[in-house]
Amino acid sequence: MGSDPVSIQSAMPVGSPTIRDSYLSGPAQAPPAVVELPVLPVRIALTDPQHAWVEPVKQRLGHICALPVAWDGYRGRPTRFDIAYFAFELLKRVCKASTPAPSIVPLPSGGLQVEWHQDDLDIELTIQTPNTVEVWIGHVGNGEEETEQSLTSNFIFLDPWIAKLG
Amino acid sequence: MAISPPPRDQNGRVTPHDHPDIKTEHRVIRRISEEMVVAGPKGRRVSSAAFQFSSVGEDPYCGMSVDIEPFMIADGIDARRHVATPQFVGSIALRVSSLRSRQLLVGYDPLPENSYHGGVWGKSDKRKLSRGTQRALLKEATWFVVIDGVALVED
Repeated sequence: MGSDPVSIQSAMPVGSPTIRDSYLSGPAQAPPAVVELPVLPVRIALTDPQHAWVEPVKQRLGHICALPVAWDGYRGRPTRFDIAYFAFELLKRVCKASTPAPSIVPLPSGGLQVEWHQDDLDIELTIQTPNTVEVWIGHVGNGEEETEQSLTSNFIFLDPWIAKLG
Repeated sequence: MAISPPPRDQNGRVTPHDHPDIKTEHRVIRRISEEMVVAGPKGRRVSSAAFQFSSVGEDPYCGMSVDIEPFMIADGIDARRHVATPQFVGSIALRVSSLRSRQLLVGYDPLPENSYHGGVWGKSDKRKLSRGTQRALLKEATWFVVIDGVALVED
């Protein structure tokens, strides 16, 4: 095993101009090509909307995902992270800046229920798995009326109801 | 108290049934966690989620857990203490007649940690309660162990 130690040396002779030197001094002959770059914003960041409902919802989702097993007195499971994530993404799409923060209730199965209750409007979204949303809406129309829908990927149905909140 | 054993499937799971020792005039107790309380325009109240059946992944028969009051009474158990142990703030009492009159089965489903545990199931493949049924059950329920400042239903 008596091999010689490997020696790593610069391929550039000592005293040769370096890339840094040429960069600082510029090329000796041809002027550099100038490329106009578009003016970019200082940064592009992906952030959650700065709406009043966001922080309470994030805190509540974090809380119910951390519940102990049997939190309901029987064999209830903590809320599944994928369901909480889906619920938050859904709320980001359907909630307006003025939408009040909903109540969020864990389900023993690991799902959750999102609820808004106002004098003349109740909205409940039951989420047992991602992309499986059972919607119940109670509202005052010609008397007390109820509407139920099962939604999977198109949530446009919620728009006019959510707009009535707040 | 000698209780008839519940029917079980080949995997040992209790299957949906109406237990003969649970009479129509009896009550069952449903524990209510503070997590099931929501904000309403008139104050705090119990969410309809308190009456959600289990999902298929959790329980192939999609039951709802309860504690069976007459079994506790027969054994001289303090039911209020039992349902508040170890961590529960509240519970509600439901008449078995309220459940059975809505085509729900009320049976015995003992667990290692709770020998007074029962189940409520839908008949046939009914795996969820309608909102109307949930609200009606809440209206007919009474507090067993009250959560202060929380209503069962809004007027």
